[in-house]
Amino acid sequence: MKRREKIKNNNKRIIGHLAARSLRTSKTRNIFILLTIALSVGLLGVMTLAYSGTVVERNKEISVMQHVIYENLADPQIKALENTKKIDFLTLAKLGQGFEINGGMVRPVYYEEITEPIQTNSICEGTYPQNIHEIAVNRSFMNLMGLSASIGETVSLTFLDGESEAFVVAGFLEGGEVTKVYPVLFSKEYAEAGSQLKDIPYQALCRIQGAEKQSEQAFLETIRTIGADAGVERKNINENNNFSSSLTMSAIDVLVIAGVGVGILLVSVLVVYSVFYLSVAGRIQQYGQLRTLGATKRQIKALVNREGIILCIAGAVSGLLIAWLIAYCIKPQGWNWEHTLILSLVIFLADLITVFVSIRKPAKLAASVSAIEASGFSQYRQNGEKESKKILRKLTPLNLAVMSAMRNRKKTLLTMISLGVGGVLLLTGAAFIVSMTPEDYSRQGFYQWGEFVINYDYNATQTVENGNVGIQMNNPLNDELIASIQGINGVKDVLSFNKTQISYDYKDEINATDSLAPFTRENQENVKDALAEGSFDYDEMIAKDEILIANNTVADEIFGWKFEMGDIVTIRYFNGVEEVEKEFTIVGSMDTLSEQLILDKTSFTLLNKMILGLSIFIIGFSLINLINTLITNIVSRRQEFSMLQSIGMSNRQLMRMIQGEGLILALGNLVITLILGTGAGYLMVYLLRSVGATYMHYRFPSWYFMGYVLVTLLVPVFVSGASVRAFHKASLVDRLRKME
Amino acid sequence: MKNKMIFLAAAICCIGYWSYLFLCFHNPVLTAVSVLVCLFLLWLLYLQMSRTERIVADFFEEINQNLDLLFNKSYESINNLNFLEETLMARINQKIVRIAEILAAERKKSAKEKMSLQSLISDISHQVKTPMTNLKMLHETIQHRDLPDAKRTELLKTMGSQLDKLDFLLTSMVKTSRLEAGLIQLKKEEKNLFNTLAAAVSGITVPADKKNIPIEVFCQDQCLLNHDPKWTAEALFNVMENAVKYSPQNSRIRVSVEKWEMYTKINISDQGRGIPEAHYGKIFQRFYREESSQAIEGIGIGLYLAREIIQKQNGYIMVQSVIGKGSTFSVFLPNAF
Amino acid sequence: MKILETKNVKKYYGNGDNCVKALDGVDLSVDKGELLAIVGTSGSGKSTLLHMLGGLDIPTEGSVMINGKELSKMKEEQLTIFRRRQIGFVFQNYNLVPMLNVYENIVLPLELDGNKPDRKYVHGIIDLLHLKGTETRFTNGLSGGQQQRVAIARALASKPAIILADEPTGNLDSKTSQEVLGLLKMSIKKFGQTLVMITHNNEIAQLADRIIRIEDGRICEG
Repeated sequence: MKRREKIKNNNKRIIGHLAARSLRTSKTRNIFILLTIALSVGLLGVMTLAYSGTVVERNKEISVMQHVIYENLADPQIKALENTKKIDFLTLAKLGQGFEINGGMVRPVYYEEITEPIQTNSICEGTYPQNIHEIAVNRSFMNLMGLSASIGETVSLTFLDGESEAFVVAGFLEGGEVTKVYPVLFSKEYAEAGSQLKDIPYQALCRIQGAEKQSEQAFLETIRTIGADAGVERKNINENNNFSSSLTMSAIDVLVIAGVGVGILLVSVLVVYSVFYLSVAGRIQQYGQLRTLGATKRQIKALVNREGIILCIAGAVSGLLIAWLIAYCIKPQGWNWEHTLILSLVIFLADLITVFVSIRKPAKLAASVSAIEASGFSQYRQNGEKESKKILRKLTPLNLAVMSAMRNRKKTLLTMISLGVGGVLLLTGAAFIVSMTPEDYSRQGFYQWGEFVINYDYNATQTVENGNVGIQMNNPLNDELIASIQGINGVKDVLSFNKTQISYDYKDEINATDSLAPFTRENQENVKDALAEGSFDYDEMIAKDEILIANNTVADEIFGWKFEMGDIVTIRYFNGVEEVEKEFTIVGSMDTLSEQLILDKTSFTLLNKMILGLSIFIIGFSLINLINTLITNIVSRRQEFSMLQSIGMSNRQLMRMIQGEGLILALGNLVITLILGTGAGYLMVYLLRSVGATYMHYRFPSWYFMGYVLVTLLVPVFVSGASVRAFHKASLVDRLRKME
Repeated sequence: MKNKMIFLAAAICCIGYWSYLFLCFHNPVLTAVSVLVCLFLLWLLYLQMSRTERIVADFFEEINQNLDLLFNKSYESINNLNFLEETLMARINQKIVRIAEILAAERKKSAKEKMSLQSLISDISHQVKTPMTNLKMLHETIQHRDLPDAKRTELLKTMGSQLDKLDFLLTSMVKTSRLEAGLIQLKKEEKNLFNTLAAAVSGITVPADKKNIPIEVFCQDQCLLNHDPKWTAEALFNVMENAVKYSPQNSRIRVSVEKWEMYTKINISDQGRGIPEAHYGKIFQRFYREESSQAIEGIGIGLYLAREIIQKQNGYIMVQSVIGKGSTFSVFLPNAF
Repeated sequence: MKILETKNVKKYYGNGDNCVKALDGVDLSVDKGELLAIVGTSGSGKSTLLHMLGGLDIPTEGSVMINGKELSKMKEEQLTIFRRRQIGFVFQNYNLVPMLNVYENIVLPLELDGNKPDRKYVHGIIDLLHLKGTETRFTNGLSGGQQQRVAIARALASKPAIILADEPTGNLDSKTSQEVLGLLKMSIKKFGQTLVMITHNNEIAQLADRIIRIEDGRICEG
């Protein structure tokens, strides 16, 4: 007879039915699993959706921004740019020298009246300034000037050079309610002939054809080529960083999200696994019953899996809905159905896989129950011990608890570890929270050393002859001032930072301005640590006129070249008497961390928020895990307890015994948590510091730990009390009868 | 047919799609590629369809073969069919095996009935033999010998009693054989059990009075029960007659009716000699008589008949007894079926 | 015609000094359609024997044949399917699934096999066993007798060839026992089944076609 293809027996229907029934009867377990899944899915959802919202929002903003600004333009260059086909849109603008008025920074600007598709502060009231005496300002500017905010008001402005001019307010600009920089928009006429803007070269804000579809590298290449063709120097090409970086998804952000996501899923695996494992262990008899009645291993496995899937779907859907709501509240501008649906689907699948992984083992356990085992299954069986050492041991409730824990050494240990993992994660998360106080975080940069920064007045540095150096000639921040500040009550210390203004010639840069800062002999080790290229010897540097370059990568970005080791730089500076020119050799370069930090600041805020969320999530998880373990432990041994009661154990004694068992588990858990959790927390802070989160300082989360201790110790007390009370709803006989 | 329609529909859709592509985009390469892709998909669809068809044909063929086994009554081969798999075929095989078993059981049952009818006939011939021989002898004596009148009268009297016995025997036999051969259909009706019981008791009052045995009946006036009144009365009469027969003078018989959840239980308790536990099962057998009761008149058919009647109504009889104290026969009649 | 046959079945638990001989060489054969009662004191190995017959347990030695098929030669899955299709169990402790209602419990073995329950037939059994009106109730709210009847209905629903009943009246009062037994006897006659029943009650055993007695793991009277 030829080999035939067999048609499988379709007996799946009952599985769905049994799963539904089973779900209806184990509500506590369902709640735990639903909570776990909803929590993990919700968190994943909020995280990814908020991130996607940020991206969408940024893209929306970028879509009305220029792609590149060509600065410092002469007429022929403007003509050349206007004739470039690749430029979709070009608008001219001027940015004048800023100056201070009444503590506010005022910036004279000019841009064209219509700058569509690039968004500028448009006129919301009145008209665009037409003649040389008209301006448009923010309403808040009028406030700053102490004038009433009405059209036609005359404003007198005193510029940096001391000259005063009077203007009529022709219109008000949008926005700028809360600002430190007040733009003053002048007319085209003023831009051409006005004192403040006529010598300022034009800049061109451009949008490049098809830029959105290019890679970051290709985009930069394009704008540089356009610039070169129009005769614009490289340093005068200022690409929109927001736009260019949006071209490649930030790898670090994606990695952080993926990493945290995997972390959340792993923790969910742990919790779902232990909840399911305990639930299956408590229902061994039921599975055995089904096996006796003719359910195959495969059917039992399918049953457990089906329950998992149903719970997973329910949990995931509710989690996602909550996540949508939260994500929408966080970034209403960034809502995008397409992204939301795709991300939700991915998260859903990830969680489904998680649940599958977590219930594989419990399902296997359920399937491995043999029919005959159904009646005799007891968790005591694994133990090899056959005889007790003494004929009679003290049989107080607490001793019974200890005996029960010792007799199931493996189960006790497993439970402790399962709880311990939650505890360790909790302590690590708590360590993160307390190690990063908002104060630490806001003190990034200069403020990590102090509360006040005293520096030169901006107007002064711009107006005094020789700029910074001119003031330094007669330094108001002298030792006397420092001493008097130190004398103020409450001032602990004054730290000083020094730098001076120089100009230098290197490669195609002639007379470029920058600043120079010294470092002390004591500090050289720190500097050496930050060195990215080259090496130095402090004494040789002094002897041979050697310098180090800070932020070589920034130079690369602006000029398209780097300072090469061994090259000579000509530096000019004012030494107090005359302009000096001197040559220095480059011996090293460094990329300081703080600079990196500012660059990645947004990423770090994201990381912080995520780890914070993760920590809260883990705290929730470990609590779920703890309560579930205790309840399951009690419920699955209900019959054993009834037996003890039937031979005369009182409620009080029973409760004492159950509480004793809970406390043994809790103590083991606390030891594991304390030892491993402290270590893990310290390690995490150390690692974060090493990648730049220098504002973090390890502190033991004592309040969180105390809280956890309290909860771990109190939960067994309450849970056992509640469970014992719940037992008494059924009569002792009923409970005993179910034993068989 | 349905498959062909689906295939045709798919093919038409494909052709439509190709022409749409060609007319709208005028791109021969695109059209060619999509034609190839569609042809590939159609080919897959065709393969899947023919596979399904083949599986169904195989399935049908196998069922056919296995049913042929049943048809040919080759039980040996049927027993070797695989029915322990998680497949549809195994499920069908399982049914075939069960059908074969039930057919075999029915064959066996009818053979057994035939046997029991045969043994009944031999039993009858055996039982009838003694009174017949006696009658023949008596008849001969009366016919051929010159006898005194007194003697003749006495012989005729003996003959009459033998005839009575034969009549009783034959009536019982006829009843039994008709019952056993399935000639009697019990007609279950919703009737008052009290009346049935009264009919049974009225038949036994004369012999009971002779032995001065009062019969106490505890039964509600209205006790509706689904049963065949005529034959149930017969069965109860047999049990009661048995009780009277084996009870000493001046004892009492108690009949009580209890309505249980599923059965109505009729207890008939006597104060007779009792039955050993080991014989509980045997007393209901045909022509069984206790060794110790040979002196008492009877042929051992009453209880057998009673059990047959009760069982035919989905009921059953049980006995409980204490030696020397008496026995209780419990007749269970189903309330609803 | 034999449906069930055991040959020298032995079941030992433990080893050495602790060895417990639950069954020590049992030879038994049951005819089709027979009602066999196994009697014996508790601990005599009755339940172990019944488990062996149902393929719930594997003998240490010897063989169990059902319909000419040897159970020990079957694979785990085959044995399960065998049980599901051929055997109906009535357990002493009912073994009803608490999360299912009465009707669902009854049709569970059928459903496990992927069969759509024959509603008319199942309702027939429910009527027969006086379970009408309890179909949607959960089993823990039923009386012992009702639970036992549900267990019997379950054993009958899949029309198995063999019913194995372990103390089917063990938890019932004598009145209910008699009722339940009458039912069992009637149903096997009606559906052409074979019933092997464990009991320690002689009164109940009188309804059987044959009684065997087990003492210390051996059959001591045929």
